[in-house]
Amino acid sequence: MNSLRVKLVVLVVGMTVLLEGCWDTKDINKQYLPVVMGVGKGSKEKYKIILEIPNASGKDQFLEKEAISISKAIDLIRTDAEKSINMVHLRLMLFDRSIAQEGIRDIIDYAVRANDISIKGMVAVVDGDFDKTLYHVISPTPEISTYDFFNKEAGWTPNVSLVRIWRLIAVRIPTPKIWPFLCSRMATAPYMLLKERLSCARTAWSGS
Amino acid sequence: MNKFQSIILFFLLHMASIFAIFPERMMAAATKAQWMPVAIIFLAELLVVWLYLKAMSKFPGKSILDLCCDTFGKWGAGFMLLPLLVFLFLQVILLTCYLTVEIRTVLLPKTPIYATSAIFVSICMYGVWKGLSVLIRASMGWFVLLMPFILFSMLISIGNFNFDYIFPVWDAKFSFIWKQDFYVGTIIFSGFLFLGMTPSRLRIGFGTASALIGLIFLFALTSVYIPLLIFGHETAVHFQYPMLMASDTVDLEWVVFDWLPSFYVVSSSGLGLIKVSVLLWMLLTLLRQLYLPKIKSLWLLIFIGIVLYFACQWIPNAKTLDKYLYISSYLCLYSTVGFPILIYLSTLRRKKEAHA
Repeated sequence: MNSLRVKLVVLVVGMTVLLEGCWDTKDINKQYLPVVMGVGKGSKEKYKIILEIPNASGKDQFLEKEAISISKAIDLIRTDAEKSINMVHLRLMLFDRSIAQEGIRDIIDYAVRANDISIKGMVAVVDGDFDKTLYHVISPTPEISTYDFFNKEAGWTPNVSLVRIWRLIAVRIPTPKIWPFLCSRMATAPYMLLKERLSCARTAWSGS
Repeated sequence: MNKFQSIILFFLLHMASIFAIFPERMMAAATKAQWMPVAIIFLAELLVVWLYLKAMSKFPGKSILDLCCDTFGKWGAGFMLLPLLVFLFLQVILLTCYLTVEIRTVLLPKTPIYATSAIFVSICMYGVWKGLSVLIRASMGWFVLLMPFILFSMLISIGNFNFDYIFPVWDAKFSFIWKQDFYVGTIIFSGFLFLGMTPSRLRIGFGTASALIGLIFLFALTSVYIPLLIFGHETAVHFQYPMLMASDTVDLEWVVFDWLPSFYVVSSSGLGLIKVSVLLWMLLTLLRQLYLPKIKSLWLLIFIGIVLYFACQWIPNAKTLDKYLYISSYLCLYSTVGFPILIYLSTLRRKKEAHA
């Protein structure tokens, strides 16, 4: 009887050590969970990163920073924000056309290597005013309109083609080819097989 | 306790390798026609298991240890089994390390590795302390718990397949034979060694074993081909956890769980737990019966657990892990292919002596 009691006490004490949630817990209301990331050209630095965060009140929140690299920009945003930023729910990466023309291989590699970014996220190139497109919000929609544009269930249009991050690493396109490959239906010879699958993906709509 | 539970354990031990180290090694070994190394490995396993079970069936009621001692004497057996012991020990360390790193990278990026591996090692030690029969019973629960997730996460990614990546389907030069990664893949064999140490009423026949190996072959083939058909060989060979990446490509609105890779990690570390415990149990039993019969097994277990824990802290990165995997592949070849053949030959000799 006595040894059972000792065992129980050890068990309970052990549980307080093991079940308190370790090192990683952060309440969900203490976190920003961005759904859209925009990668544009910065005015002073190389990249301008815009994160779009859905909000329960229906108004989207935007966080923006310029830096020499994406992770640096996200770190800067993290420094300013009052909550921690967690990229696990990132679903859409938008590239400015000028960035895409220079080649986005490094960025795609970053997205694959980063632990928290899911490789099933979608990729698109913004043709037109980058900022206007990114900050464009259709107020009656409770969710993020930029993301909904690509959502199969949203019922907008069946003609939007979807390109996912993992598809881009699966085809291994040489850097200078990436933009023409994404934005025109002309595929270069070795990639003829995938020509139809990876067709145009761009948001040609802006706020105006 | 019946044979059915041994069957489940046999299956799960092989699945543990399929979910941990096997697929990426097969992909690294062969640049084309990846089914060929997989098929060769499983044909070899079929042969070896046949020899092993044949040797065992001639002397029912005896374990491989008794067989060895009877034929070669105590010292000879100690010498013969030493590489097997080293292999088991290395295998346990490498598997524990691999799995804790996987858990760390995918589920708990901020948790230090000493905390994750402490829990991992202590659970394994508990399993070993309770003995093989409890491990076998636990594997039943594991089976019911994990199989649906495993099947689901394997099959759901079919939508992303690009079947063009299956070509070319024949490698006339058998180039994978010369790659070391091919031999690292033989660690999948370590799943059948426990059959020689169970009581004979739990042993399975060769017919059942071959059917099981056939089934496991199918699983192994799918585990290699799922990442291949999604990413293509050129990309998939760069991944550290190709199956994990493959399950991350699934995006379905109706799946309640947003992030399927966590299923993969949970099932792979669960299977790994079973495998590490069984191998540790084998190591402990052999060590006690051969070399240290006077020491209490609990103390020996605690000692081995502590060594295992510190060895895991000591391996700094994936490159070192790779290096030791290559080293252990030699030992693996001896203990999973050479050793059963030796056992079989020794039983042949003893049979002749008995007739004479």
